[in-house]
Amino acid sequence: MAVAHLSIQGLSKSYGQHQALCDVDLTAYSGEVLAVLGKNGAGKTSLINSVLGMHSYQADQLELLGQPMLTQQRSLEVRQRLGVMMQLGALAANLTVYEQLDLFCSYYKNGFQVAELIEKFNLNSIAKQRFGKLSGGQRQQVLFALAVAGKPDLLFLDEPTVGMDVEARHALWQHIQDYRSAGTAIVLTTHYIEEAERLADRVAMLRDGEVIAAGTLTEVIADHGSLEQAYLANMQEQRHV
Amino acid sequence: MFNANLYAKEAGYDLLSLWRTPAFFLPAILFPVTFYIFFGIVFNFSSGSGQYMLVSYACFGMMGPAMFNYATAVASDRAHGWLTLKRVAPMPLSAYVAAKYLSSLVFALCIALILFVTGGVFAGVELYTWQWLTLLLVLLIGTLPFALIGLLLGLCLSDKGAPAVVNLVYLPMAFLSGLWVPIQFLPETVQYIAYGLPAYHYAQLAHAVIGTSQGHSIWLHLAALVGFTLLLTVIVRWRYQHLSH
Repeated sequence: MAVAHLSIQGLSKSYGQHQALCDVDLTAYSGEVLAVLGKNGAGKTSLINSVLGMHSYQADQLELLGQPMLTQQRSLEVRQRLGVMMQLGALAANLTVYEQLDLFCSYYKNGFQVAELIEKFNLNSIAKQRFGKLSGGQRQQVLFALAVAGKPDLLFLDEPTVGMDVEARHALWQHIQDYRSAGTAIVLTTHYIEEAERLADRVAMLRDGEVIAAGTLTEVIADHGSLEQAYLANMQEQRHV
Repeated sequence: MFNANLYAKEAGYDLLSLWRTPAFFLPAILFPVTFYIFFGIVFNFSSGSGQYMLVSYACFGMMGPAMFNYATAVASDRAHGWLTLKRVAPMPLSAYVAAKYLSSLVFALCIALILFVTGGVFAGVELYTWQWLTLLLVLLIGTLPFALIGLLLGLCLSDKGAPAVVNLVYLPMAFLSGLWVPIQFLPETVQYIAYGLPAYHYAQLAHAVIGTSQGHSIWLHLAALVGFTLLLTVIVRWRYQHLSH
């Protein structure tokens, strides 16, 4: 049975006068991918940052992995079970891929060994290269490997396939599907509608910090025919209001 | 539970990353040594007191890596998202901070040893073994408040602004604390300002080891440094907790 690994009610965040998130309700279940869609500045990254306690926020309720988050602090125990791939995620440019993985693996009690990660994500060819010398797509691959280094129960992926070529993108999609099948709850923010349509079990659309549509993929698409049509229709509808 | 392996890896890789950045460590090491050779040996303002100038320039040289390593590295880690990844990973902040401090100490140790050899060979500085060792210990431990200043600047400034601002803090503080020119040669007002600067107390503690301090109690200087350290720790902690507010 699917378990709610992330449960948010009434989440709001403002930067001074700017309201980045307004009364957001969302739930992500184990073994499912929740895709959060919205254009730049819609509040997708603010949502992830709030959930991770990277900045202050207001919320009626915020539960991570069944535990209520009463403060901005996230305990080491909770962080052991989280995986995060941030949109802005450069690593130390002077360390090799192997060294970065080795460092990250040391953070987790029950995570992967470095060799396992290299094998699993086919990073052999770049393992000895310094992170600063990698292409954008290769960097994304390494960042994804780091995100799952601890075998997380709840995985946040913020624009994970930006800069990837088609082959690498498909490989990453396969990994995401594998993690979903293994029971991981995945929160995916993306600009690519076809990516969301391919991977998501549930979809939430954000506009100006508000959830304007949410539900299972089937519910959101409804009679629009495709997720892209549903997205455009929802954005258009809001613009007219 | 304390994970020694995590701390060791964090420190080892931080040091390795710095070692692979000659643009950082070469100036950090060569700058104070060059200063000492010019102003401490060639144009010695203190009438041949090589010992005095050695201690002053060792203080000057060892404050540098502590401040620069923290300020520039932390500002850069913040700007490029590396610190964000660390914050969401299950690693204690103390491992990150300790790793950077250890790296600073290693570079500070290199600077001290080069200056000691230079002073001994070219300026005829002669000290007892216990003095060399005590001096080294005081110089190393005394870098803590400067590391905290660097950390605070790194948590407040952009990666592009950090080096310039560190220089704006580091160089005037060094001058006003009597690290370039003996403090007794500076105007009286400057000497009063020096009492409020950690670099002055750091230098006086180091001078006390070889008997060239101004004569105030070492407890006064020790208390001042501990006070600065505690105050800075509180501010750094507050700043870290409010990093993204």
